Amino acid sequence: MKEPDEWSALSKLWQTGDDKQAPPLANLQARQRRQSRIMLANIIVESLMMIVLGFFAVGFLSENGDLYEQLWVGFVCGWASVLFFLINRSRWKSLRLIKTCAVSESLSEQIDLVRHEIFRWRLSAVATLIFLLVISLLFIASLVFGDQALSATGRMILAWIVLVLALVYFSWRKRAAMRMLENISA
Amino acid sequence: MVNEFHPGERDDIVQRFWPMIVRASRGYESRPALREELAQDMALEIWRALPRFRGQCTLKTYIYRITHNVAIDHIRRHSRVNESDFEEETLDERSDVEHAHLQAEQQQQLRDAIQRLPLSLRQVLLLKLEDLSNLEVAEVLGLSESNVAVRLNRAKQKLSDLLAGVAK
Repeated sequence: MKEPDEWSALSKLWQTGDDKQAPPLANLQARQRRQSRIMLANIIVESLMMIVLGFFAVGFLSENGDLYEQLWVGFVCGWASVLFFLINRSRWKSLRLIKTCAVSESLSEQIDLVRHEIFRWRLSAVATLIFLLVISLLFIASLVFGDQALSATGRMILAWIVLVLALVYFSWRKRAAMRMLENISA
Repeated sequence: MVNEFHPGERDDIVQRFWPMIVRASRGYESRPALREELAQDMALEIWRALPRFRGQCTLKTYIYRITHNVAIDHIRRHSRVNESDFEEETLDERSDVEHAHLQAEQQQQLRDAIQRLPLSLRQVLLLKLEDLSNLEVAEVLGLSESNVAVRLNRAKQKLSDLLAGVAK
């Protein structure tokens, strides 16, 4: 690029033709209020779901039920509780981001948020993998000892498919977040 | 000291900077719907932040900081597109401007090239294209002037290569 003529021509080209009016700010404020209400509703619904899930889990685990079902309930509750905490911590940090500071300052906080996201997906993937291994081992053990009913085999295959699909999804989201981290760190 | 901007004054300031906001959104987002959303988010954030302006820097620097911080937030929240999606998007847009004015085509090529730059170079370049001095760019980004100069050289070189690639 030849300096400075070519640069000033480029700058002029960049700045040409943007004389449109800004949209009415009242509309933008209304949109933002709507988004805030949606987020608040999400938080309330998620919190209520966590409370209901907690009550259900305590009730279920205190009974002497099927081992597989107890494992499922324990896994889902533990995983949901940890994720609920981590997601809301990231949300809180995201809301508190200061947009008026120098860009390099806020960039490091944004990078932290992406790292949190990567951690969440990694945690989900690892937890799912461990759970998959545990129920697979239990299933194999019950097959070896010959106390496995045909209906339980069907349930096991279904559970296995669900968990593998979840694992693929979590890994895909983790890779997407890692690509994002590369983008904003570049 | 907190500046007492009347709502009307704040509207005027947003209006005055709107062309810059639109250009910045084009530098960060290739998808039209999300680009419009980004521009609106930038405008709203500026409007909301104006009462907190305490003269710690110039108003221009303050507004550019907000604009580029909102852009990074947008990238984090919406950057799910992979490179092949991006190609598809820009190729579609290019086909739209085939019949348009030569200048519009050149602007599109410039935008495409800028969007392919790494974020650290893109930020410096977008601010320089708005005719900010190296000192002003350094204040917006929170970098030293020498760092800005190094990044700017790299950005210009890379942009030149990208534009040369388009011209071939």
